[in-house]
Amino acid sequence: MKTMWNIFGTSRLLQKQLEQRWRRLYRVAYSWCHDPDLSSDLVQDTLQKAIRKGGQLNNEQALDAWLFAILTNCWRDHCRRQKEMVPFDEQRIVDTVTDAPDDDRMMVVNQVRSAVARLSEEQREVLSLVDLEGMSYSEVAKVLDIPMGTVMSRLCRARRQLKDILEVKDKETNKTIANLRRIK
Amino acid sequence: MNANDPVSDEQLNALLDNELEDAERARLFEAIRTDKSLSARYCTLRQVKEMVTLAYNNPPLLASGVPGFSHFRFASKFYAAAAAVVLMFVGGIIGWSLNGAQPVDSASFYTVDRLNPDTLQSNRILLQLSTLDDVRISDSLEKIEELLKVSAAQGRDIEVEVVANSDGLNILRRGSRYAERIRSMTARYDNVSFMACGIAKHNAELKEGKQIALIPEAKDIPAAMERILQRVTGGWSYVRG
Repeated sequence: MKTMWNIFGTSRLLQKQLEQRWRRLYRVAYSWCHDPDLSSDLVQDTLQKAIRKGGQLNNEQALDAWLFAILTNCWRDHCRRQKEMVPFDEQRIVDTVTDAPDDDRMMVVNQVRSAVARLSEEQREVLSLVDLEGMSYSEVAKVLDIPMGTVMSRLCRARRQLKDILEVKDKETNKTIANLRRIK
Repeated sequence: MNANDPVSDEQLNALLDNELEDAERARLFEAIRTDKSLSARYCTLRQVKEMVTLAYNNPPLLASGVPGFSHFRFASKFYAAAAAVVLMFVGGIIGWSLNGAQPVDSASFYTVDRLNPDTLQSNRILLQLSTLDDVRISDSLEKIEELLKVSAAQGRDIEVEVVANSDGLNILRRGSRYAERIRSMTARYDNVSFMACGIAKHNAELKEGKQIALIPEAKDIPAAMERILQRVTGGWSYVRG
């Protein structure tokens, strides 16, 4: 069987391939937890597991989905551990975002991130993979191991909730499009 | 599916995320074109998607960086510039004022009211116009005209590009109230040019269901965003009109 080692030939080449994915994994991890330290840990864990499990991958095209599936498992393991230790507090994530050093340039970014942090874990997972990674619904379903209908409904609820939080309204009806400053 | 069936948010999301077959996509685009309320719902979802994408373009890194992945740290400067510029677009979309904002390099970014020929850091200036507000448009054109006049008098070699997108595209439409002023400016100065965003033009044509005619002075560019990014990363000063 053609394994990942056959595909990339050497572990050095594999490491290069994985490094190129680092930024994308980090960005998605950050959108889930909004904590740079934890994001970095999650990506490091993901890449270490990927290298250890390299023999399980037999298709180069599946590398991205495979890596994001490992990242998802790392993230869920982390959430599970947190819930076992202390009651999980979604508000903590929101505070982490809004407490970050701020200036005018970062105001909009922080406000959107705060809104995303208010979504449920499940909604954030779907939203990030679709909007940041540009994955198709079927790819997301595979990565998260959930039915495609669930992907669609979680995405729909996530965007609806974001629209409400950010007060994104429509120009056609001549209403205020958004008052993001209020979120702080 | 019947053409008159109500369109759900799930369907609009699927359209937005390019998940539909050609026939269904065409049906929904036609429905959006003819139904203002549906068009508004679609635009709202699109704005939400864009805002999420842009908010994570440049996530914060650990202060120490990450050993072994230095390419990411090199890349971050470009991403920072890109994120700053696209956030200006988001700012426009959501009505956020850029006044007082200091994106990436404050020396290279101006609001039009702060545009001063004596303090410009670069002789290459890009002015973005994306508004319908006549006062802002007039002020912007006036500032640019003054800049061209002063620079010509000083023998200063400057170049100005005015990029019109979103609602700002209207200034470049045939019959625009600014058509004569733009014709006069381009006739008098050969170092100013006016550019029309292809995406804004396409969207306007979809909305109005007809071809849009632009004034002869307008040059077509594929996308305002792309142009601005090219110029900003190339050292031009960026001015928001």
